Amino acid sequence: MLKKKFFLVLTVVLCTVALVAGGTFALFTDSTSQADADFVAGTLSITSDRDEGDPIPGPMFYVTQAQGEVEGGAPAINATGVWAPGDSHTRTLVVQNFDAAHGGSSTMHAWLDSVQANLRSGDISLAEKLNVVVTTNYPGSSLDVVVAQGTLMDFLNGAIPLRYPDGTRVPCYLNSQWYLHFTVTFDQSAGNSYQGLNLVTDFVVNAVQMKNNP
Amino acid sequence: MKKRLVLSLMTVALVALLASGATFALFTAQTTNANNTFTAGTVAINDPFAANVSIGPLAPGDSGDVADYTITYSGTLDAWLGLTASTSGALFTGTHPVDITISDGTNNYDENTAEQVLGLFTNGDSVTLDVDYSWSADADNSYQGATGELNLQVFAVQSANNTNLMGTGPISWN
Repeated sequence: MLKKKFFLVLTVVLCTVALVAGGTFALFTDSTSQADADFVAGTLSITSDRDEGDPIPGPMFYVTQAQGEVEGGAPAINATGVWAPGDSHTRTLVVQNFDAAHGGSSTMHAWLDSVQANLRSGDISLAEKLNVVVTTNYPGSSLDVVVAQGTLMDFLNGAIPLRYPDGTRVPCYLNSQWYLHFTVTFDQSAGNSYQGLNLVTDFVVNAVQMKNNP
Repeated sequence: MKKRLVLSLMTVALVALLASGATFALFTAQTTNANNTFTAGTVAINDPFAANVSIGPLAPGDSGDVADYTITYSGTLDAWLGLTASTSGALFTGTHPVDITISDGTNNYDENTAEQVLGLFTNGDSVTLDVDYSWSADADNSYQGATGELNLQVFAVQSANNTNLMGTGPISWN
């Protein structure tokens, strides 16, 4: 009886020692390989260049050739000259939505959502007498329609939505480009107080993802 | 029980989210066409008529030079220049009024006509108006002590969007 108790105690002690010493059990097991699920968000990226045969990059509207030229490049060919009341000039901006294989970094279709202007320098009052009309064609059509308009001051005050007459948005699908025509007219009612005024602005086109955003 | 608790918590969270007016942030992008320049032109002429000229005292048969006026155009826009000439007073009325000739060397202008076209001018162009007078020797005593005034004014208006169909002058002087 005593012997039995002894061996039992010894076994318990040995087991405890084994556990304390870090002894392991080799149980039967199995497992799958670790599956890594990687998530990556797409990117929306648009670029643009002026058109009308001008060298790029450069502004659509410029008064002198020097203002419109590309540094070290070909001379600009579409100077407006100084503006007289009643003068009107149309220039084109080509907006591009290209993926990496086509020189861009976008991965999704886009809506061209709005246009705004940012003042760089000059007399902002001139913006009240410069009327801006943005036109483009319907997809699959050569018919140009107005998609945004206002005074340049309106565009400086905030983004003007780009919408077809039926209210729909202007698409710029991945790996495509879209032509926006900007017509600026110096209001014929501008009086002598506007003589000699100068204004420099940026035109900005805003895009938004098309997916999940009808 | 646990399942019900989790579901309730999810519902509460969703309602809270909607009630707080949470907005969706879609991907956006921009492209900029920079440095668009707009400069209004100018229409500008000098003023050669600043000083008045006095001619006299005249006697019948007198003639001479009133003045030569050179008008220089300095605007950055091309412009039509025009002349308005008018006379008033007894010396310019009656049977033998003083006669005024206005000439730019090529064209003659009338002394009593408004908005006569001097021509289309570009920056730096000028024109000199030679203004002369002559008085008939037959002017009688009724003219003694009479006075008169010749008024000349030159003005300019942009030619862009303002030229008549024949290209001979502006559509409007204002």
